[in-house]
Amino acid sequence: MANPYLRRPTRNLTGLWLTVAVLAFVIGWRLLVIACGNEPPHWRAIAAELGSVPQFKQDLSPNSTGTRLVFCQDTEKGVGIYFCETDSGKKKLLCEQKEKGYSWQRFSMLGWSPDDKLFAYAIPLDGQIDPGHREEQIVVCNGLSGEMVAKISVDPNLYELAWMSPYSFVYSTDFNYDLKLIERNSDGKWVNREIFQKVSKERPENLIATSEGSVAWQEGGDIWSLDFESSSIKKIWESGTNQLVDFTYSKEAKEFLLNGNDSKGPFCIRFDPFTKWTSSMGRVDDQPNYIASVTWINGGSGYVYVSADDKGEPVFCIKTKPDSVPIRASCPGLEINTDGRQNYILSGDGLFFTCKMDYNFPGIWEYDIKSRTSRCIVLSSTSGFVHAKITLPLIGIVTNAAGWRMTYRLWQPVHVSTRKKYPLIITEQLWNVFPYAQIAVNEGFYFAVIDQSCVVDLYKTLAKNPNIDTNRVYFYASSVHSSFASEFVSEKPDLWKGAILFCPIALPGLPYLHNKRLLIIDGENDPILIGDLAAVDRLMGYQDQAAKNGIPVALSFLNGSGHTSNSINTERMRAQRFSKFLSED
Amino acid sequence: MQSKLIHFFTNSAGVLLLTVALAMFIANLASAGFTQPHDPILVISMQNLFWIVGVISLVVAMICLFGEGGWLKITLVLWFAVNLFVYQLYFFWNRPHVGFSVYLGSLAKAFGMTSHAAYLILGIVFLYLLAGSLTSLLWLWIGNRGYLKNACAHCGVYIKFSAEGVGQEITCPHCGAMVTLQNPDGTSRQMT
Repeated sequence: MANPYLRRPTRNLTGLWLTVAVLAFVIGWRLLVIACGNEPPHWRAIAAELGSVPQFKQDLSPNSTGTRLVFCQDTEKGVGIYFCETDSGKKKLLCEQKEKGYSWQRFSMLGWSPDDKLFAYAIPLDGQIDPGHREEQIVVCNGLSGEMVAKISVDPNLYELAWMSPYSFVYSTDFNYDLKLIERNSDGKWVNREIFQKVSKERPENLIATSEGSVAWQEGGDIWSLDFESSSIKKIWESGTNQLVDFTYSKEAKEFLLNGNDSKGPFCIRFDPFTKWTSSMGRVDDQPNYIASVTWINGGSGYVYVSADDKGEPVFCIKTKPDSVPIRASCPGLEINTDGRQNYILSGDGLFFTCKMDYNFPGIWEYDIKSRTSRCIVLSSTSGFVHAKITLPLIGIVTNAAGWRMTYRLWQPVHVSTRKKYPLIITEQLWNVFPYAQIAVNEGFYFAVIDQSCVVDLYKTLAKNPNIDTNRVYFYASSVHSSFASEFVSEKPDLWKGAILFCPIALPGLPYLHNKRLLIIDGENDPILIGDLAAVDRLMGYQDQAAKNGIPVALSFLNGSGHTSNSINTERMRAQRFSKFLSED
Repeated sequence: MQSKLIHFFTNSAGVLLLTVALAMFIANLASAGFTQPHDPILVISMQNLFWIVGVISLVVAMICLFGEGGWLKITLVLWFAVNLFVYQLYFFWNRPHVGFSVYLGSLAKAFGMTSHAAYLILGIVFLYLLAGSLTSLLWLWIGNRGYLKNACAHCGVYIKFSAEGVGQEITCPHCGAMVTLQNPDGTSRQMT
């Protein structure tokens, strides 16, 4: 007979069923969010694809005839030095420096010997973890094959190098301002021959060989020379009230070409150091703002330089004769050197430049001065994209309150419906748009680039576009440019929905960030200290402070990376996190 | 009736805690690569806090769903809910003007909702756990007065019965052996 007072302790299978049900529910919900919500899986694939395109780093180093080229490019885990023949574009990896463990990733290109048979670059000691970026070895390579010929231990403060002859070179050092002469002796070994200590009061800049036995360098507005035979150091040019910007030297013409700048703008002077003969070549151009890299061509009968047109676009100018009207060539992707970066070099009859703009992939291009044609030498990827669609920007002009006309570039979303509104990202950093502009347009954003003086003017112009949602406008900046971005976002908080900052050195004030979105991405080893705080501590402190004020900040650190991304792996990670942030808009 | 309701509560608590644990784990995995702010009370990263709370929640959920003994289950749920309640109380005491939802960003994003919605849902869940466990515990305590327990001589499983059942011979619900219900002192007479 059943006892009504007994409670039967059943073996409970209900728990199992409930567990399965909960698992199915939670995982199903998550999958639903991924599939139908705001994180479509193909966006991640697009970001990975675009972020995996290896980018070019630092200087290009072509030989004097432009037939061979040494350059730096991202590898999967670091940065590599490549050697290539410019005709075939076939590249060969000479050495690679892994990103992890290094805070600054760069190699110094040390140029070619006068006969083009050798070239050199500097690297840190083998296996050395080098947070301060000191390069202690010069690697000398065969100019035909790229094979290493010698590895020379040098002063870790190596700054610049000038080839004197195929058998000797001089390098300058930072901090102690020495000049050191290295020569190859009869048994083929490269040895220190002479050291000239503290040759200048300031760091010697622009070190060049003027002959097999002498070098010259710039010290402030003056040019100094050292003759190795007599060991005499003398000032050969004093700029007086004029400001000497830089200079080049033609061994054929045996003349300096001095690039100066005064209150009326840039000018050029020819100068023969032996006879002291000088000749003013007058104003370089009618462009008062900017010229760079004035360089002799045709054995000193003409010169070329990079300038900017009246819309602020970089142009390459050629003067076949000093008094002739410059021939202007616009090179898509040529970047104006406004922050110490230079993506072009003049050599022989060619202008070599890396280009991240307007083309599908970053590449190295050559503009031939004689034929005035461009050709691609190396493209970072030769295969097409599977997921991403590449769009070209529309070029437009805005005029600011001061009357300046500035060119802007606007990338449209890959698929635009006239009845929809799309968010917009604005940046002022032309060189930093790849791959982020392409990721943005593939994810339904507009992306615009303009000089910082016209950001508001561009905003007002684009606000008239019926497809742009002015409630969803972001400002994107990196490194030192974050100062402007932070200031701007703080000053005009009503214009922005948020900001995207990479490796920022300045951050927007928290009172201006209510209801805003902010993404910050930095390398976990970013060595830049601000107020004695490393980037990780500073940014995490900022995020905590923001959270305490009720402001969410999306913060991400890239493993093993420093202030800049220096591997494909890091760039891909950053691209994916950028994409994720956009997907949550 | 009482046992059914308590059983329902422990099962529902198990389901909710398991859901919370899984949601926290998924949120952490989905936000991998992003650094979460430190929680202002324990000063540990929200990611670590999610792992800790998730694991505790998972353990309590497993006990609720698979364990035996209503007292243990309800006590654990109560302990867990009280801890979270005290945490929240302390948070609001220190920061009355700032909501906690900003710390739940990763959880909200992983499940396609706003931080406020995530906070609201969690709040309701923990309020239910707190109120339910308190009520159940009280009810169990009141309801258990006058009940006796015998261990089955064959399998050792405890059988709970009303004092009126002393002296009756029943089949052990676990092993099926015949058991005579006795007073704790070993007699099989009904106590008067």
